[in-house]
Amino acid sequence: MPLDLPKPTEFAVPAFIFFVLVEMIYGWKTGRAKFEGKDSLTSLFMGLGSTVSGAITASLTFVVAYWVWENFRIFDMGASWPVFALALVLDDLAYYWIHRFGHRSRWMWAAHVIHHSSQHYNLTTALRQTWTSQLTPSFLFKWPIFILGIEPAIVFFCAGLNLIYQFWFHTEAIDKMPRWFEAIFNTPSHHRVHHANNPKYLDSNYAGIFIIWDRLFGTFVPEDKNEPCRYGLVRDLGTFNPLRVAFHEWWGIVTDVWYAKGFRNKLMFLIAPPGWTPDGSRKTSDMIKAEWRERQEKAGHKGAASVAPPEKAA
Amino acid sequence: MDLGLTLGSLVAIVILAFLASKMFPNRGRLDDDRVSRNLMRYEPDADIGDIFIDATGKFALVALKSPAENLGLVRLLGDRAVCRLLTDADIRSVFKDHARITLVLNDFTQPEITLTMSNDTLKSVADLLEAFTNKLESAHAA
Repeated sequence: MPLDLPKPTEFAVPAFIFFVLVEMIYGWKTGRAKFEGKDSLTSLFMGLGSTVSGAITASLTFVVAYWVWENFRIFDMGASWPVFALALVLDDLAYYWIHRFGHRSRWMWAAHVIHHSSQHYNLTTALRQTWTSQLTPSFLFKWPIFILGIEPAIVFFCAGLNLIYQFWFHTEAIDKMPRWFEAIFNTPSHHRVHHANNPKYLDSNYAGIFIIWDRLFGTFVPEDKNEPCRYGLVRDLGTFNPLRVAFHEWWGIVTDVWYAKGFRNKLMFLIAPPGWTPDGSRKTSDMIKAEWRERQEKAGHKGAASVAPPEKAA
Repeated sequence: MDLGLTLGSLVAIVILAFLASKMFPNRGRLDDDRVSRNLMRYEPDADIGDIFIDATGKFALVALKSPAENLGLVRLLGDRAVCRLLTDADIRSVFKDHARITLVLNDFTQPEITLTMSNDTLKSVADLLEAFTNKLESAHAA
């Protein structure tokens, strides 16, 4: 019999609404947070749609996860508090890699791009979530935790806590947290960098709760006061229509795969980084960063070389 | 999934978006400086020529000296600018009537845009598009 644990995100909905309102009033009074009506409507509606799409496929996700746990687990870790703590850390590590592949492989980017499609960065952006994560292989990244022996219900519960944690740092209203906190945890400053489309900041700070994963795996980039974050995509969307927002990258993949010549090119349009084309006519984030670095060096700027080097294609 | 929670969320969404639109109203328009600044951010190597801003202040077409064979498009979406470099292949068709030009684009997020312009500007933009695409048609004939 699976553990019956609450869904933390459902309990958090009233708090989400309250804090969006608080940030809105704070921004209105101080100018330190910026909203736009249609952008907020789209973000919040995408969040609701994400909940609905998640609920539709929840049973399948649950059944598959339990099938893996029941048939392939090495240990039975039980349900003690230390196991919950371990699950929280391991789930966050899995999240880091899901998120990193979510930026480095177009198949997973097609789902995740929605979260980055606002040119604003406020608490409504936190709720701008995908409707189509179930169409990606992201669920595979959690299988090692089930195989290790942690019951799926515990992992899903911790994933809910992780999502709740990620809500609060989608804001410009908070500058920096204490140094010890910035060193260990993901914060508004770290995550602003992640949402920025400045070439210097692309493909960095993938963490959910613990920023230590980025420090460990070489993807950490600190916020630079001389390089203010500009939010959104390198090619921003020209619409607030939720359906077009939800499916634009999937449509792009389908058309690219349809017209691509040869199996290899068709496959690469699916798994290569966003922006990849056989002839290099579009730009990947690595190309954008390389061009930026070259311009900086030509202009004699220092510090360009200190940016995280380009990643290999995922 | 709880139906009450879903419906409650929907009501909250509408209220929050309404409040956002009232507390942060959009009064901005495109001007030459904003168009060139955003286009240069989007394509740092762009060499900008003439800028044509439509009467609503929400769209601008930009003649480019570089990159060659490209046309700049800047659109004000909400309070933020959205930029594109258009090639001939990105424009499916162009329709013109006495005060407007409509571009039908190969762009899933903005398949069609309409620029409203004064007669002088309209003629310049029509000439630019004609030279660029050879797809200009009269809207009445379309």
